[in-house]
Amino acid sequence: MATSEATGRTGASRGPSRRRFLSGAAALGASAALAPLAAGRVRAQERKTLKLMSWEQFQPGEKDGWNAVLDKFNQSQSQYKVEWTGWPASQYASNVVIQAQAGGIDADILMAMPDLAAQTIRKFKFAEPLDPIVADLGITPSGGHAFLKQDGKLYGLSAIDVNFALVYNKALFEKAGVKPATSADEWVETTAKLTDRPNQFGIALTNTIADGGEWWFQLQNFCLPYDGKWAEGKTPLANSEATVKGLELWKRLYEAGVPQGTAQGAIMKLAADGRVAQAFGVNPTVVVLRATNPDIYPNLLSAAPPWASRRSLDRIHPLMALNTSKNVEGAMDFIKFAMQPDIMAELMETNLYVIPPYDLAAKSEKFKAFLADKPWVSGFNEAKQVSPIDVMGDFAYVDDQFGRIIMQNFQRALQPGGSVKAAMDAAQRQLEGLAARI
Amino acid sequence: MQAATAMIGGEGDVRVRRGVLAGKALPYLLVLPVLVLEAVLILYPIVRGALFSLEGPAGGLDLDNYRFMLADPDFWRMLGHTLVYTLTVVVAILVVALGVALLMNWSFRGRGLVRSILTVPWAIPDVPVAITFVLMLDPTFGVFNRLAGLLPFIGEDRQWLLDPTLAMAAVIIVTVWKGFPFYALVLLAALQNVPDELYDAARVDGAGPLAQFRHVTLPGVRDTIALLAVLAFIFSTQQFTLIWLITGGGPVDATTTLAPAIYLQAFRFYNFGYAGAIAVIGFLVSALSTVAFVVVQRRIASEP
Amino acid sequence: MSVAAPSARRRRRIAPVEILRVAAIVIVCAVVFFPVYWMLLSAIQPTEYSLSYPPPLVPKGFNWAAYAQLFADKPIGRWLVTSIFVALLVVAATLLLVIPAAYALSRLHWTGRSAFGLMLLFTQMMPAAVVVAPVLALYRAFGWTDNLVALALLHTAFVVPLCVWVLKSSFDAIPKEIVEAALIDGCNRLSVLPRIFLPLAKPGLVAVSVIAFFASWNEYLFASTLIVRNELYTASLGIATLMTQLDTPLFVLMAAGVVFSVMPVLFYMAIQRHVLRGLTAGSVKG
Repeated sequence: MATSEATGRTGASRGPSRRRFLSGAAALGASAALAPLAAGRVRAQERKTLKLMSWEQFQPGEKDGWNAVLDKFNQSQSQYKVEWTGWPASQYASNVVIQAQAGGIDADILMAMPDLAAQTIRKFKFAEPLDPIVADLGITPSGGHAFLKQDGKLYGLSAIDVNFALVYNKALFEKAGVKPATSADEWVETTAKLTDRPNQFGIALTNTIADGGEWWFQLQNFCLPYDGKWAEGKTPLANSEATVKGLELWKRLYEAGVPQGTAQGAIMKLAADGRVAQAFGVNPTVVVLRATNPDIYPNLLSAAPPWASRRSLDRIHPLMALNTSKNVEGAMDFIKFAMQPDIMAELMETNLYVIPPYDLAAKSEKFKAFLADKPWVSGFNEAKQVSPIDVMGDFAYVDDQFGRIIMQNFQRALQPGGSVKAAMDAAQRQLEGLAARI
Repeated sequence: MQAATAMIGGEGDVRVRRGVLAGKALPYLLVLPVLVLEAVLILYPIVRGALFSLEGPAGGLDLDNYRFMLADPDFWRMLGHTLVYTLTVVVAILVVALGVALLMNWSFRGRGLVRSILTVPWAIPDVPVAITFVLMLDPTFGVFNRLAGLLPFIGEDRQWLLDPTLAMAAVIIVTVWKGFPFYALVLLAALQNVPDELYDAARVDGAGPLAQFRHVTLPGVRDTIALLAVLAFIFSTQQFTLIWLITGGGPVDATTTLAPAIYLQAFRFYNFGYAGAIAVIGFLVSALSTVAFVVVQRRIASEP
Repeated sequence: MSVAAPSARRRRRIAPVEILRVAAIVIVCAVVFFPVYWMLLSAIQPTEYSLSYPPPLVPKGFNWAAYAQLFADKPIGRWLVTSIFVALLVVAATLLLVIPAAYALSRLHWTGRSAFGLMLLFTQMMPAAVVVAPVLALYRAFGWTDNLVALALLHTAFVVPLCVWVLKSSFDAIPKEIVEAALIDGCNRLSVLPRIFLPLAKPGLVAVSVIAFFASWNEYLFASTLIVRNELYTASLGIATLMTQLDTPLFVLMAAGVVFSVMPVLFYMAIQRHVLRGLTAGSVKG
């Protein structure tokens, strides 16, 4: 194992003890107590505290990388000290909304999921433009940043960027004598071949409304196999031919080899136990599977989305500076610090993030070497990134509501004898109603 | 307001004696701390929350959210689901709780253990409860299908959470399982307050166990059952966590009741005003049902 | 508790009824306990068995990984202690507030009594999702965020209305003759409360204490809004940190469910036992 991979469980024992103290639970309360221990450091009381609101401090595979960024920033200057605040991912967005409704988000820097980011910029109007950082660092943010722009200004920079590809278990593929599919029909075929219910499943696709966030996250890509779109501007295209065909592909996969009606958590466990041959997922899926079962990691590889265009959605979770903060400058300083090529490259290596926020490979030899060293990232790199705005039109800002309408109707199509076209016709009518309100 | 006295005990009121504490101020002094606490920490936020519903998208105050809601077919379907879920839960939970309370009220060896076992569902946090039931109901690996396979007519390939009717049944079963210990505990307290003399008298009159139940036990706990029916109604309209984690309001929207609908609007769709409007309607439905129930209950109580 | 159920003892000679009873108790306990058993089973056997069909009904082998992961990665002990602290505060505050209010609602005549009773029910009717932001705004104004005592006060405010009604129904059941006798013996309207009502309403007090404890123990939404500092996390907040992005570790959560349900059950057993003794003492006095 390369040193850069020593994250997750092994990371804790590797890091210096101070970092462990500063990580997660102890960070907020322990700072005063630790000040005397940190020789030569400016005393904590004299610094202004910057609150970084996020869910990353709770992520088992990723918190170490982020703690290192905070640590380095805190040591790099004597004016500010960044501390974590926030909630685990499943409750994160609702708690941020509660804060916004209660008079303001109690943080200086906000990390947000795509939907929450769009709302923070457009509805709450709490975000500060980050164009000066982009100019200072001379970076070119990736195309996916389009949804973070308003009136020509950029309000967020990617902290975590994920895209979709086919993640597969090499061992199971070899045993069945198949290769990753490159076309839709082939995909259904290999999936069926790799399925032996209930012992082995050909593909992991989230498929219940109880896991609606994750389901829509994946399903959203299925307008792409036949080059369709969900919407253009304010016109929904849910029942357009290409989109319906894409969903029919999903349905064929569902019938061929998905654990139907099984919860996302159980599907992930099946995958970690080596009972799922492939998944249509994002790069952190690999990190999670590795955390659950380190033995599975060497078997995991990725392939480009199995359709001609190889296009898949790119979902940016940005860092934003909140204009409600008393320390906007400090917040900007931190984001700028985190975006520096060497800092970002190390974060990406530690956390196995493979999609950089900007042209990082051109700026960091280290990062280039890291990508070359990871066999499983090839599929993610071959995938062509598509911004949500490109397929969602104006609905990109009401993404969850759009997704809910699609999933509810699509679920009818999954019942015996259900028709995808009929379901999407119904969805289209509801979406036209939604269009009138945005 | 007069209606509420139905559930407010009538008999044996303590008459005024004398002294400072016997003055007219006494009852007000006794309830004052509760009144202040509720007014500041609960009632004020309720009013503030209700005001969200008047906030239009432009920021002004208007009734747009209500207008939109009443024209929204999803809203009416949601109300229907809420009604089915709530009424079934109320009836089922009270029947189960009464049965269990009667069991717990018997004296037998190991009663302490039985009482503890029957309290466990209440003690387990919602999240593990939901996860366990989802696993048990899993169409592929679930034990429900295995057990159902042992019974005739059901078969072992039920898609519990993918079938709208079965999904509703499933969330009702889980709600009752998780919730009944509370109702059983309160009923047990009420059963323990039924004077033994009444049972003795009934037995002297030659009443069997069933007659004793009908003529002594039930009248003794009737007011408590009425109170619990109101509480079960209120609480089940507000059930969120279990439904959300087990079905997410699906399949389609079959289990989207009031609380999940409000959550979706407020925290997923960022329509706080619309969420507020649904909440106000939910509040009014609960309030009016409670008052109506109390009136009916009073009528029945006053009949000879 | 012979006071409560003498009939059962007297009818013990009738054998068929007794058998039915035992059967009923066993069946009810089995049905109620089965999901708990499933939780225990799934968290201690190797996961491939839990995710197979047909699922085995008895554990096939043992694997403590879920428990090991739970205790290795998370400060379970601190969460539990914090939750116990908050819950006990809630129980104490609830009893303090509820006893006088339930008495006034049950036995005193005063203008506004019905309105007060209804108001208590109204506090329970607004869906939490809409109340939570105003509560946070209020707590921010008071400077009460990240404060466990203030959280306990809020939990108390939520549970008090319910508990007033529950205790009131216990007070209602106390025969007026006993109260009148006490009044003639020289008690006043206030002193009958500790002398007569409290000893005779012990089952109601048990119920109220348990309701308050459990309500606080299980509450998540408001705690997650008001408590952000991780070292102040209660058990319900802690358990939520197990669910991370893209992953819900099912069996670790089930292990947590088992661990976190032990305390409330112990509380219930303790208060039962204590009150059993207290009740006998009370009935001798009364």
